[in-house]
Amino acid sequence: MIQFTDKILPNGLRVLIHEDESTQLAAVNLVYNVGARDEEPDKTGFAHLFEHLMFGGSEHIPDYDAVAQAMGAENNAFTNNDITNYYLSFPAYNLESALWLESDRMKALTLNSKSLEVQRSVVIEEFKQRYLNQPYGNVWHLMRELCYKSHPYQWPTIGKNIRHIEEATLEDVQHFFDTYYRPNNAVLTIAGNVKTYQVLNLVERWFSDIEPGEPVVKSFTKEVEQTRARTHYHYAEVPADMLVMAWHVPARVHQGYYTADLLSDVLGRGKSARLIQALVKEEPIFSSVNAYVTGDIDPGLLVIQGTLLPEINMGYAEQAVHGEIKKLQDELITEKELNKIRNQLEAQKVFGETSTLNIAMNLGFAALLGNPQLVNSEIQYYQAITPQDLQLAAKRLLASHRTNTLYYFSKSKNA
Amino acid sequence: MINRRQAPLITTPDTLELRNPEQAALACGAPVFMFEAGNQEVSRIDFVFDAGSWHQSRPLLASFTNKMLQEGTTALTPAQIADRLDYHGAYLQLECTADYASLSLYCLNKHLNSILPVFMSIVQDPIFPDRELNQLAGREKQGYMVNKEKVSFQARRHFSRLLFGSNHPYGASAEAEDFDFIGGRADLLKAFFEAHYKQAPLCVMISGRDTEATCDRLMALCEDWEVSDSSATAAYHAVNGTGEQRLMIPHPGAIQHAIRVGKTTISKTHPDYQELKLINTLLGGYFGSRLMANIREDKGYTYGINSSVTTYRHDAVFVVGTEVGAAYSEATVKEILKEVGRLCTEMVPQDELSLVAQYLSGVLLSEFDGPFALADRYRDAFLFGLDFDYYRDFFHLLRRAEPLRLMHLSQTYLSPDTLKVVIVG
Repeated sequence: MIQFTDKILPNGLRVLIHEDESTQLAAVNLVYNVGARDEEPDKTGFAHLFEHLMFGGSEHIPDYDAVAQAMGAENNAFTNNDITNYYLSFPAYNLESALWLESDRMKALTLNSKSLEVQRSVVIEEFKQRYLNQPYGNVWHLMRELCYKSHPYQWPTIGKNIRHIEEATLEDVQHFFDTYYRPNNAVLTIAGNVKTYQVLNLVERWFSDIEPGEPVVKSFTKEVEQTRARTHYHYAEVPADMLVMAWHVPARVHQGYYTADLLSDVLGRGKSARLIQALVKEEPIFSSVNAYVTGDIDPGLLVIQGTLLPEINMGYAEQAVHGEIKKLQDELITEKELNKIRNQLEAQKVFGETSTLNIAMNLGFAALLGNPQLVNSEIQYYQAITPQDLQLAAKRLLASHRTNTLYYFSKSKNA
Repeated sequence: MINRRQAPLITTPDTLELRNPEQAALACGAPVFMFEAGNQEVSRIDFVFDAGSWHQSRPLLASFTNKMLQEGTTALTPAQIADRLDYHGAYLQLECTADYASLSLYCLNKHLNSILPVFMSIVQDPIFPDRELNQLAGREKQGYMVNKEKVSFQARRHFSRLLFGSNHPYGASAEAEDFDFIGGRADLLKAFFEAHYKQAPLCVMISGRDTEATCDRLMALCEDWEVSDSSATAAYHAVNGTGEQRLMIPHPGAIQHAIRVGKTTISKTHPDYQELKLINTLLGGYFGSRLMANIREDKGYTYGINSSVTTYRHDAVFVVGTEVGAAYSEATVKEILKEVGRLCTEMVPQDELSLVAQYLSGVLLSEFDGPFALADRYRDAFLFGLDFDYYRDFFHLLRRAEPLRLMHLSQTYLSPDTLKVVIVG
């Protein structure tokens, strides 16, 4: 059970505090409720580019990194389709410096053209390194376009293409900051060897003078219910064929999400999972295969992704996956198999709680979903799922007309 | 109104508080180290064997022996092993480097009674079935074919080969046909297992909660474990680098080039090593390093650049690594050599040195956070015949490092004209 204090400052900043005396460290996690889904279709990749600019200095702290390093902090950030998350982990007695750093860049980030030019270039190299110059690096560019026809999940966090990053202007940057980087659009979590009352004093000292912004109203175009299976064929210079299949699943806060997540566990969690036992071990079809849900705030995807062994034909592999899905639809899974997954989830939760930074991140994200208690209660949603629930979800969610399939062919193998 | 210009006071720890582990020994003689820490009722158990690729007669033999440990034992089929571990939410991590091979078990304490016998069966009685070996080779070969397409993978390979030669364990790398060969030779794996896993492990680590009770259980389970005397003579391998100073490997279609710049250097037990480690941090060992500041944050040539000192049992490597836009690769090599050169000709300014010392002091604290981290750090030291004093010494060094001496050491160990360069792209 994770204990925590939950408070909202008058400017709207939500603050969560978790005490843990077993560590000498503390973690500060600041999550802003903005991600790639908030971007315009012709200005994609912007939320992530902006994340880089957040390290360019603020009004009273010209060099963010120098202060973080002097504190002995490990710090970084990540952006996904929903959120932008900043974090530091450091010796607990330097807490105030961490709050000084985060509050100053929330209050008055310094935006200048040199910083924009350099980070634009860095992000373009990141685009090349991770997406263009890697075998299968563009899989998610293709999959998102295939699966989403109207929702902004149709582009990845790095952006649709490099051109959007090249075209970003300082005005765009300033507007983005003013809109989204306000205290009322963020959750601050402090975890570790700290005292709650001291933390509250320090947070008030550093954050209470920051002006709130206009409330951010999120209204994304909903995906229309898919009625026909979709396919896409892609040929690239890769050594092996890859099959990627995806189905839309309910939103993150929906009970149906947990059922979908558990379905993906039956298929792909651990070496004993069905896809691995059936399609890697018993009949070698894939050299590797996995199943997972994307975990997005809006309705996301259940994904099965596998690399085919050289002698296997794409259609055959696809049929084999459909065979496993059909089993889930036709037969109830046993209590024993379900218990296995419950035990795996319990172990994952307990091992996850060995890291204060991890606890801080999970609390922040849960609060952003609307309820920080989810860090403790989510496990019960999983425990409540029955074999009948899973079968029903397999029939509804994994219905053949809801399938999105990417056939990623090796050019040389299929020449 | 708060004065935002007034920075809060930063505190740097003045001691590194580390409690030495409790010790015991298995009947076979292997030392057991216990790290009692954390709030969660979990355990990790590591067995480390002298079974790295240093001892192998064929490519892949050591790593495949290690990976195959979980693919069936005299008591359990591979599917049963997977099922028993997953059913209890436990998982196994297998690792094989040039020097060592290890097995690590992660388990909730309440399931240890059920899982320890499975784990010991994997450690002691694997059978290396042909079918599983053949499949593993097929899967690994495919992974290799994908990796081969990556410029970073190629740069790493070619750089190691350049330094050590392709017959040396630190320079060798497998080719596609090696996977085909090993896939049919369970006999070789069995022989490797007999020779290198039937000696007492170099060490056993238990970390988490209730470690003493776990140790008692483990000792009982290992009471009758028969091991041979660890008198197998260590193989000797001559370093036989290719001699080239600069290597350009074409990689058609690459839009980024992977770069490696470096050389072999002194290892952990050398008296100058800790200062070299400090110099390396200044150069490319953290986000604010000189290489990052210059090549990423000023020029924007790359998403990331770093330098490291990797210590092996019989050697060590200093290397700078990065991937840069194809147009920037010559300029990047020039800047790397320039930054290394500056270390040799200019004294590090005191404020920069203090900043890095402060940073490393804090980071050291993080590196010992929690039971598993404690076990990892101890193992890193123990395998070189060191203990926690190694880190305590490093912590003190951070307070007394001298710019002049660092410059002299840079001249001794990092002179730019001794560095070898590999570019793939």
